[in-house]
Amino acid sequence: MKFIKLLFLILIVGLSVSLHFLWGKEQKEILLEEVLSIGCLDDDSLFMWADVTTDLKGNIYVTDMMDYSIKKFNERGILMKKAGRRGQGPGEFIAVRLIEYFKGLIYVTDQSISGIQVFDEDLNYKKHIPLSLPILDFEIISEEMIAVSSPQIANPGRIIVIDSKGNSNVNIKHFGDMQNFWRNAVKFEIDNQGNLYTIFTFEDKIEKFDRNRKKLWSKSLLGKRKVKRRKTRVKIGPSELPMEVAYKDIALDNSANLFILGGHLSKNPSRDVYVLDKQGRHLTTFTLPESSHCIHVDHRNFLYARAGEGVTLKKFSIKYGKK
Amino acid sequence: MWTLVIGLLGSLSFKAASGRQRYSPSLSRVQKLIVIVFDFKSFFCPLCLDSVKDFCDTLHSRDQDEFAIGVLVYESSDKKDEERSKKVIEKKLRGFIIGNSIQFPVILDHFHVFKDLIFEDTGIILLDRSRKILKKYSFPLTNKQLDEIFSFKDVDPRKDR
Repeated sequence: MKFIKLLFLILIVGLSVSLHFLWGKEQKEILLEEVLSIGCLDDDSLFMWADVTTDLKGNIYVTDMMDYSIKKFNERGILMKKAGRRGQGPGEFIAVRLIEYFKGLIYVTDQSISGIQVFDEDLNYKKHIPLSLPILDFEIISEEMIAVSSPQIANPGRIIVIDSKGNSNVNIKHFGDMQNFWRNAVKFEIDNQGNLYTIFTFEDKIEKFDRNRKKLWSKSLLGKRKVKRRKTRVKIGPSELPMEVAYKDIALDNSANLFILGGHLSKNPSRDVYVLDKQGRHLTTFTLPESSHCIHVDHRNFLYARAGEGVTLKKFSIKYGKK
Repeated sequence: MWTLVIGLLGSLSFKAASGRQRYSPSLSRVQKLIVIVFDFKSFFCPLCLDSVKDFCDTLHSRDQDEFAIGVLVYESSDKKDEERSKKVIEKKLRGFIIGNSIQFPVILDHFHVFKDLIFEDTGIILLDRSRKILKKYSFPLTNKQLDEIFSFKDVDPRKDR
């Protein structure tokens, strides 16, 4: 009996070690398999989609900048609902941009309208969360906690947390450059443990902070190359502006691996996706079939990206393998 | 060059990309043609589109959609596959027409006829035979310019030779 228990223990340890090697070192290839394509040149389902999110049933929600709408597709890609029109009233848009799903609600931002509009799963307008700052990225932590990244001039380098009334109560400081506030432009993700992952839009820098905002690591994937910049002649404001993007978007899979979409500095601009594990180790890089401005990974590990210059949304299954 | 282009637009009746099938009326019958020259780049500038959108709404509210035709000027994003690039632009144009409730036909300037017609952004060419006006305007438009564009003189084409 003791012998059997010892054998069992050895088996468990051996399995754990091999799994560690599999996920930590030997998992060096990712293959994408297209499973769905929404929108084509001949139909009117998508005109120029800007962002995508998904719910737990596999429904896909998209913002479409060309017809000022938000759209809901089922997991087979059939359009279920369309809402919105051009305007500045409730449920209306001028430059609809980001979209996030959280517990039955859809949160939407607009580049020309401040704040966040909230809709239900049937795209019925529910409420508006006021916020005077421009929103570069946001993440719903809870119904009363929304983390927002905003490239502010006055207080550079913060991701703030607001409540459902738009009141700011928590700041996460990560970087400060008063002279060139654009260097603080970050996109981010927050995992289930409250760890914060940031990618800098115009700098070759990826960082992780724990839930107490202590920096755990900082990585560079592009040889610390600098984006092209041009001088500005304005007396007030930044002395130079970026002409390229280092990193475009970030997503987490259900193992908390980071997927980072590269920008102009990548070997395949706007197509290379870098995959890092929780410790910041670069596991692999794969290349999207077409350039994209954003990526999204849902809870079932499907990846969504752009195609057809924004008229098509593609869904891929992510297959992990060994090289 | 101008005479040829304007004459062609004025005398042809044709189908164009629009939310509805429309035929542009003959210039000789209605005496007036408003050509809105859209720059595709302005589709991505919400503030730039504000005044254009207001103009299109005013055009509709004054029942002058039938005098209007749009021309979309663009640069091909894929020089190697211009046909595909054209289809992508056509699709985005459909979205723009639907999103902005455009009621007049809009055609793609596929042969880049209007490309160098001294518009830095979206603009208007007005042909008004009754008032003998041939002018171009850039957005944003002044009230005086709007009055000039929307006014017209009722003329019996049988008498105006």
